[in-house]
Amino acid sequence: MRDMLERGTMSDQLLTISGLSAGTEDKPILHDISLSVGAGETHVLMGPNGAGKSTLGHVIMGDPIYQVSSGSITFDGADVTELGPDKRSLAGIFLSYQAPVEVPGVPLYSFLRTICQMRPELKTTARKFRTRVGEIAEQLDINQNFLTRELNVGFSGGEKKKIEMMQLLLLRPKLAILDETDSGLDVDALSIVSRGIEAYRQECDGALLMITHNTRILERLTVDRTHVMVRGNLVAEGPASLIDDIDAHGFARFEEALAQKAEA
Amino acid sequence: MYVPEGVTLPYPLQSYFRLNAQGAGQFEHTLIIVEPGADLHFIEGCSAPKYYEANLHAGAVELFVKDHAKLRYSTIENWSKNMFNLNTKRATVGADSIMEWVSGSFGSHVSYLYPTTYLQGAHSSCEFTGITFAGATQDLDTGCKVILNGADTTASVDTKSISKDGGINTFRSSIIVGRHADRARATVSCASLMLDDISRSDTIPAMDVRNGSASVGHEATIGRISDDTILYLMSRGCSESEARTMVVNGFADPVSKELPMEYAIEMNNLIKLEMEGAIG
Repeated sequence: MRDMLERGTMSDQLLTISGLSAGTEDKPILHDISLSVGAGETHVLMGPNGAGKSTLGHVIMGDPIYQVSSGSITFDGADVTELGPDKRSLAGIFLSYQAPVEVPGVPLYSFLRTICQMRPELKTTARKFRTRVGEIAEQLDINQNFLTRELNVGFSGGEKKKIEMMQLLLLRPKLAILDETDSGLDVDALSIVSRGIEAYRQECDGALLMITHNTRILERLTVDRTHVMVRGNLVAEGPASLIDDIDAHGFARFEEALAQKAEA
Repeated sequence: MYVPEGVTLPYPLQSYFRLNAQGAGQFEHTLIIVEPGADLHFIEGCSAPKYYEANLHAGAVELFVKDHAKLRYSTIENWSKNMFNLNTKRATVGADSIMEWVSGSFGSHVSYLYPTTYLQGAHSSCEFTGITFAGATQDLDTGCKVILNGADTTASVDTKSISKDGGINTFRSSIIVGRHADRARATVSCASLMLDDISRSDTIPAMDVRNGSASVGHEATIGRISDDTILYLMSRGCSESEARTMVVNGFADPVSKELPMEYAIEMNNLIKLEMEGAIG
């Protein structure tokens, strides 16, 4: 109770980004971003190509290629702005990549076991772990013989995304950022990935930040907030209905609004 | 070591060399004869504690593999980092026989090591799988030499090297196809992993082909661990050093797969030890 009160006075949010500007060494990309995600909420981040959506996802994860020039990122009551991606992962942030990397010679199964065993809350016996992996594999329609293959090596785009979902369900993060997890998937793969996301929402009661162009994947989710990013700026925030608006009219009015703001 | 005709050893035979005297030299000589139809897996492990004075290891290994026989010779070498390791290893192989080398070199200050195989009989093969790990102060000059004299003989050489903290890896291969080695085939592939900008890795292949029907190929790749890979593994909770170790162990996996389980684990542990504190 006391713990809840204390956290309540600090912030009710799971993730709070305030006044964040970041970019690469020679190029500012994100400008004065403020955004909050509450525990268990589903947020959608939309915007035209090259707006900086993926960059924001990477900055939240702590990708060292980007430097934060001002502002802060608070997660679960702690300032994580200076923490490396490993510490953020252990704190409960998960990023599903657009293009997951291939790691030759590292079998998928032992990789999954390693990343779970390093977390006290997920540590379990080999037998229980095997059962759990089997369940998830079935849920996501992943062939068991993938488990002995090298991590992502030679996997198709859809298979890689399923493996990302598998890690999501195993790691049970408090916040999952899905960076265009739906892009380039065929209908079947898309429905499996959607199933994975739903399972995560239900089983883990986790928060979601979805970066997407595809509104189909959102149909099965209850979206709490929608954010629109244009040229590194968050230009609008609204309820789920904003998605339909963008679907119908595109990003033009947000781009104009940003241009006018810049002139003024 | 003598394996009589037709005898197959069900388990690997293990030997262990340790050099326990400061400033000493070790000049051991290993002689193995595998008679026709026999089959042996011989494992050689080497290590030494570190002394202030340099040590010398100059071993000689003579292997005779007769017809229809098979010998696998595995080495995991982890001499101390001030050892001069100058080895001579030779194998003579008869007809329809198989010679396999598995070699992991981690220790020593300077190593000169080029196991050589003479494929004298027809239809014989030589397979060489090796890995070297050169860290600070290490200059590991390794490789392999195969002389294909019999018809329809094959040689397959697959090596990996890892260089870090200024370590130097030099890989030399020599493939010699004799005049009578009709349809002989040889492939050499060498993959190098550089863990920083101050280390060095060279590949020096040599081929001497004297038979027009032979086919000989060579490929070499050199790479480093990409930032994307490190980010991916770290964003799943691995520390930077754990992530790097995981990638390096994965790189070495094709070699550790060739080793019996306990040696594979030992090799992974050696890599882990070498990688500790290797951030940056």
